[in-house]
Amino acid sequence: MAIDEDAQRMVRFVRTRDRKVFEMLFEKYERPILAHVRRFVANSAVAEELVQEVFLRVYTTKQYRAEYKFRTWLYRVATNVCLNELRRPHHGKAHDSLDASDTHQPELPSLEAAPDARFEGQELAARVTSALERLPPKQRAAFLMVRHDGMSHEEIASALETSVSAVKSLVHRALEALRREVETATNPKLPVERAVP
Amino acid sequence: MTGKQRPDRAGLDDVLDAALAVPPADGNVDPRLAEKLATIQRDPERARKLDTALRALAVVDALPAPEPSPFLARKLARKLDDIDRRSEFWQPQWGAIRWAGGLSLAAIAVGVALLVVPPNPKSTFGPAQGSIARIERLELAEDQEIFENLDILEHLDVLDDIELIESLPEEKG
Repeated sequence: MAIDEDAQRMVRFVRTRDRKVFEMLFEKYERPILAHVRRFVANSAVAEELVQEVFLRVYTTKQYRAEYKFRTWLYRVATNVCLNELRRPHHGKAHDSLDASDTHQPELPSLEAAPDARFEGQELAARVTSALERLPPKQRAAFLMVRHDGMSHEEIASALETSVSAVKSLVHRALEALRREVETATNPKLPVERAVP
Repeated sequence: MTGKQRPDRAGLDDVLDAALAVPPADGNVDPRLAEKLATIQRDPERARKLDTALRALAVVDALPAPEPSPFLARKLARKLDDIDRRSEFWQPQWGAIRWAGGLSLAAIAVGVALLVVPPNPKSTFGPAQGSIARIERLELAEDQEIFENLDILEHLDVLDDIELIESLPEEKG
């Protein structure tokens, strides 16, 4: 099996502790990992802290097995960091006093900035985005890893430490929840259904 | 198949499956997928389901990725510097300083222990016990000397004189 380029870089970094090699990896994955982390935590300040934690773990890694794709390994590290944060009892409380609006109303990506205007209106977009935020973290993560990151089910299964069939199920349930939101928005007579965790 | 499509055992739905297979941007749709979509669209109920799913996906696809703040890289760099500084202490060139530090700490610990814990005469490790041990050692050495003398006598063929041998322990006593 061919080792991917970033896995080779990581192997080199673990051997040499060359900071430049690490910085190359950081620059490449900083944004996708931030996006991934933001799928788990709504607060941007907490998300950036977690991104730091992810890359600190990468930096202090003593052993790295190059047989996996670096991206998959990195997403797994990030997922573990996020799930640990979600398990913490004070999750979401620490930043309330600093930035209450940030926690109570999750930071959604600006819809005005969306380049693609295939959807009908701002209201529908807002409803779908809000429904997306309400999805269980793993469901949301799996769904967005497919749509935004273009990851395969196998890669996501490895990153989320679950089975391929579980990933498929998570993705379908997420889409079904969003689809129902669109259906309710376009046909208000239909009963509103909550996402199944 | 008409009407509602029942999801399979894994909870998957072929309409949602088809919607998910449609590429995010206006990319090319695979001919087989196009055929599948056309089949779905022939059924009004499934067509509506497909349409709502695609509209939901269009919203999701249009969401921009979050932008990292400029401080993220700087804060991380500072933390990495701290880690490097700490790990540098364990490099070989710091070995002498580590040894000196370790020995100083050990000397201080011994000094403190002597100051804090005075010698206890009743202790099994105290001087009384030491004296007994010394006496025992002396006695042992004395016995050894006697037996060495016996060996010499044996070589000199004077062992016949049993009285002499028997008198030796008495002398000691």
